[in-house]
Amino acid sequence: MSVALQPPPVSSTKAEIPRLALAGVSKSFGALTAVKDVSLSIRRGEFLSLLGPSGCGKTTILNLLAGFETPDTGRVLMDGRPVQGAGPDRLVIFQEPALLPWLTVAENIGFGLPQKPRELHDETVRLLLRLVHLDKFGHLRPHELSGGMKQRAALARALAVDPQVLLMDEPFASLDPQTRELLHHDLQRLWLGLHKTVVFVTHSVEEAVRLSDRIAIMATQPGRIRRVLDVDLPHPRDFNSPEVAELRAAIREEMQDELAKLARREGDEGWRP
Amino acid sequence: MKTKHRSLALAIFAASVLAAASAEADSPSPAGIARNLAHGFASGDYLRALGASALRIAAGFTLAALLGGALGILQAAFTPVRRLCGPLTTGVQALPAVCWLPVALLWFGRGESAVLFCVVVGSLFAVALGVRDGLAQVPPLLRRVGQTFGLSRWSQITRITIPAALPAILAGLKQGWSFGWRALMAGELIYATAGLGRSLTAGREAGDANQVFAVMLLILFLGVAVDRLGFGLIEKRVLAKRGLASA
Ligand SMILES: Nc1ncnc2c1ncn2[C@@H]1O[C@H](COP(=O)(O)OP(=O)(O)O)[C@@H](O)[C@H]1O
Ligand SMILES: [Mg+2]
Repeated sequence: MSVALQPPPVSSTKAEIPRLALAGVSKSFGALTAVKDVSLSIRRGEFLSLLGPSGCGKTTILNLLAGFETPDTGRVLMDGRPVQGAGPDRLVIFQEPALLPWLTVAENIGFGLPQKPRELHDETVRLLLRLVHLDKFGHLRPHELSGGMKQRAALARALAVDPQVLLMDEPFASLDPQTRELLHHDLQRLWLGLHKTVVFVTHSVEEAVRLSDRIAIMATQPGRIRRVLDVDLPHPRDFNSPEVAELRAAIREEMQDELAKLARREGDEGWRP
Repeated sequence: MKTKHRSLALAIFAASVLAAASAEADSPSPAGIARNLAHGFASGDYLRALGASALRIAAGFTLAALLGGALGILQAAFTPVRRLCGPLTTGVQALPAVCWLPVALLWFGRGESAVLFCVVVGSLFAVALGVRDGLAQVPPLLRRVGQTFGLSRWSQITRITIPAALPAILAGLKQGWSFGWRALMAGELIYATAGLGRSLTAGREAGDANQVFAVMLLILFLGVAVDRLGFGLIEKRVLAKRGLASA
């Protein structure tokens, strides 16, 4: 905990191709425009949070980056090349842990690994189990784990395939605050050590401030990116420091507008029980 | 297991009540049934009947599982096939297998093939339904897990779709077996050179109530044994693994 953690070097040379990019991307579902004209570049090794209230299109953006969805207009690029379908270079961690219920925890973690040679496979799984503090639980089934343990197993399963990018969709939203705190710590430790690019979806200002290099604040209906904030604060972040307090206040103010807009909209439609 | 004991006890109880209610000489009694069973097994008659019925159900059910499996897979994989055969499968599945008996006799005459036909159509559609719904109802989230890990189409099927569909497939097979077993007994009553249904008819023709009840017990026993000990145990293991309660 007390080790001074340094963020991985984020390369930001102008000429460099971003790890991930959305260029003028729009996506509609029927009559509903979920995201409209979104442009965003994510640098190698960067931890970027997509922050916004529920329904603003965060998951849609993540699904576009993952390749689960295709944009109606605009382009989604990974290392400068158009994304075509999902793949293990952009591994997705879902809001629910999405472990396979018929496999043990160890088998789940080894899911994306080559199954042969067996000794190497087993040894890698052992290391990964240790990495997420599940050493003693490899033989259990997912339904026997707590929510936090499941999400740690999902994290280990993702890291096993050594993806360049992790796409995380509110992965800790359904956990209790203490567990979430622990997982923040785990994720940060892993991110600082492994130099992955992370796109992290959240609706929690605290979570975004705690983890991110940059925070993309979203606007609702249709989903757009309202503002992108740099967070140049060392890790681990001290939530009592004036810098953090200032940043949180600034984000809250930015988001207040959005919440007010949502409230007005609901008011217009009238509240029906 | 418990249910098996309970149904056996129930059958014996029903038999004894019948025995007590009737005062005629050839009325069934627990002792008479036991004697009949002992004699039937000693002479090898009941083993032969059990064997013949087991052989028929094995052949019929294997065929039904293959055809039903194929029908289910086709429906899950191709929307036009599902549109066309979907409602038909669901509807026909609800039809008691005995209703196929007249059709079987019309098409195949009184013979082995008619009985086999009854068993196959009796269980085929239940299997198809289980396979179809199991495959079609794989949670989208789990499909996406396979996609993000970059599974090939084939791996997606073997590592995600089939294991996810397994509980429903097993339920379909179990249902299909039980329908097939009933269909077989109905078929054997009409025509068979050997088998439990045939022994039942023989008992009736001879006016031997003890034999009728003894054979009913055998049919019940075999049916329950396969249902509970065969499918039941496999199903229980598959569900327990997934943290699901067995029905
Ligand atoms: N597959 C879909 N079909 C129809 N509407 C969708 C679909 N996915 C998302 N939406 C709609 O798009 C909007 C944005 O959704 P989403 O990206 O899930 O928001 P968020 O993740 O920020 O809560 C919502 O209004 C949602 O109802
Ligand atoms: Mg979402």
